[in-house]
Amino acid sequence: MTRRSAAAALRRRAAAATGRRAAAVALAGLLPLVAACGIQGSDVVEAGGAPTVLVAPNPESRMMLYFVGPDGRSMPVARDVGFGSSDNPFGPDYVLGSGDGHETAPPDKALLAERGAAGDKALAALLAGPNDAETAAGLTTGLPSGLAAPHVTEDKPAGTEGRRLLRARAPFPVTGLSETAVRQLVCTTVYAQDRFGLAEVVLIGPDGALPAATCDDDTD
Amino acid sequence: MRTCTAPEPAPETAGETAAGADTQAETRKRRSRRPRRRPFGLRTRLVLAFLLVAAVGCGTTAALTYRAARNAILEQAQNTALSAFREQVQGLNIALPPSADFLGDQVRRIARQGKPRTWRVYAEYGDVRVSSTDRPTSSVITPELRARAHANAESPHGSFQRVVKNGTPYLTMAVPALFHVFTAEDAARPTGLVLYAVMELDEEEANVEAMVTAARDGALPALAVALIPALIASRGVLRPVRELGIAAHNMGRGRLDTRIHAKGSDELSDLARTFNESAAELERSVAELRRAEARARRFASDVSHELRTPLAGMLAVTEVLDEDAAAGTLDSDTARAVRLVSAETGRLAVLVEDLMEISRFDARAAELHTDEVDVADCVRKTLQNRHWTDPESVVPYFTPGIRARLDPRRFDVVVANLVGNALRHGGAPVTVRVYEEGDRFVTEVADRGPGIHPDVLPHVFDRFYKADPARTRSAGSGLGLAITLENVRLHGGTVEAGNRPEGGAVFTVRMPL
Repeated sequence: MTRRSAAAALRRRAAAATGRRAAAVALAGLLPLVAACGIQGSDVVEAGGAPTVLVAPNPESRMMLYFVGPDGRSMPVARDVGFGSSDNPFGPDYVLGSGDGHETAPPDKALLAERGAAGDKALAALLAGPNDAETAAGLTTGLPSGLAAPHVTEDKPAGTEGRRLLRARAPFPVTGLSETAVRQLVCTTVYAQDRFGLAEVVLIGPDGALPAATCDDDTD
Repeated sequence: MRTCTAPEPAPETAGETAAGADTQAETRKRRSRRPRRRPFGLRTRLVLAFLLVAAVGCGTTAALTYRAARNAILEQAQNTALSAFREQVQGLNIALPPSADFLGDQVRRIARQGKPRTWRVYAEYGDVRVSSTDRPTSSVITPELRARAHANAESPHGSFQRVVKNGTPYLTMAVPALFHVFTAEDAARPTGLVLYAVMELDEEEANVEAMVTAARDGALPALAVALIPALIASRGVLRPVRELGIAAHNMGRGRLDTRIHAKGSDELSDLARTFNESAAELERSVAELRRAEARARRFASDVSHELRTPLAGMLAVTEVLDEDAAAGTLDSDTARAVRLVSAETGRLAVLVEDLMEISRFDARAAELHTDEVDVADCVRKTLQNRHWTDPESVVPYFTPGIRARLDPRRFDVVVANLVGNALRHGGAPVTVRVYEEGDRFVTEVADRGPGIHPDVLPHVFDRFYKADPARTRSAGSGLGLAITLENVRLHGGTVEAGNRPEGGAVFTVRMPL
């Protein structure tokens, strides 16, 4: 009799234990659903494209120069050159470099010469360094000061993948330039000459030529 | 026939104790009949299981609904805010580098136009930090968001992040401003200007909180409602089980006509039907057995009745023949034969009388004619009537003044049987003791014989039990101890047989006072 009741008690205890285990499992299954109450933080989620803004002045009367931001990234600045003005495209603070002979160029060649001249002008402005407003915004240049502007020409045999190939002949050594400085030169040249920003640029100095580069391969 | 007299008013104690025992038995019966409350009985378990299932169901549904609704609320707020932010930035017209004053104006304008609520807007370009608030940067904007806004220059994206700071959830958004270098068909390039907007999600949080409250307020009544079917279901299971328990209990107490009202077609009613069939079968078998037993008893009773009349005649004849034999008128052989016939006839008459007595017990026809007597007197008279007065053979030790309510005739039979047995099978001297023991009195008959063999002890009160199978004939009828037992039982007493450690058998009769 006592043995039977003991066995029954054991069975009952086992049944109760099973019940408790089942309840625990059910609660454990329910817990994560309940735990995520309220609003949680999230990771960074990319959603949609970035907006485009209008940059003044309009493309015809500006030139794009690439300087270096405080975080080491190259950053574009837009400088007003005035519509069709060739007198003082860089503002009164800047002295024009030599080598712009576009006034004597014939009219049918004027556009091409203008382009080439624009590249030269932009590079000259770049080498002159950031102006007050740009310095105030934290922009710097990676190029040494006091260098003469390179001359840009276009090679007719196109570069790789149908891109235009630009040659910038610099009167200073180029192989010792820093990566950011090269990038400043390349990007400024490209956006002065090519509206799509796809051209390849070969920097040539008295000490040799650098491999062709584009402004796209922004690695950082 | 009264061998001893002097009746006295019956002592109240006997009646009282009997009544007390009765009420005790009654309460015990009632307690066993009532369904016991068990902490983990079937009802509790059923109700708990029901509630658990309901809770899991309600909880899961509420949680899933809540998650879906919360995500929808957040998604809507995020999408609205981000697309509105992008739209606001889209219309900007800036110089590169932008002037801080101009940016500040623009940022404050955008902040006012925030959707679904006003934002705090921050603009960053190089070292320039401009905001729509009095602080140039926000502590809510994480470095990860900042890095993401600057990274991926080839295909810049707007991005957002939810940040919880000091318990308040914020939505932080970052859009890098792009520009077309020449015309709108060009690939857009980053300007280096990044705009951030921070919006508090307190309204969304309030909505989410409201949903939690709604889910809880919905789930708790659902649980309460689940209690009702749980109770009904447990009742539906428990009632048949309880009925079955009561029926089985009744059947165990001998009420074989117990049946359960079985209706429905579920497993429990199947069980009830099986129970009913088993009960009917059991009742039939028991009735059959009882009839057979009754037939056998009636046969024994009838036989002894039939034998009694011829035996009476034979006894009369043998008495005459005995006298003749005693007178010496018969030759010696005939006289011996006559004495033998006479003795055997006498034994036969005793046997028939005993059989009739035991038949009366079996038929429950034995009646108790009780009287208030002095026990010592009774026993003394019994010994005198049987002429067992020789102190060599019977030694009495009587406690005087014990008064009991008993049937003097039947008590006489008990004492005579035990003392006669002791004298016949045991050895003299036979000690007869009478003493009080609590609310009972004890009559003890002990002999100095060889005692009773332990194998025989359990059977000494059986009918016609022969201690020695080889000895087929004995002086007694073989019913003496059986009749003794029945007589003692009729008085509500007990009789035990045993051996004394110093040798000899002892029979102890305990009867209520």
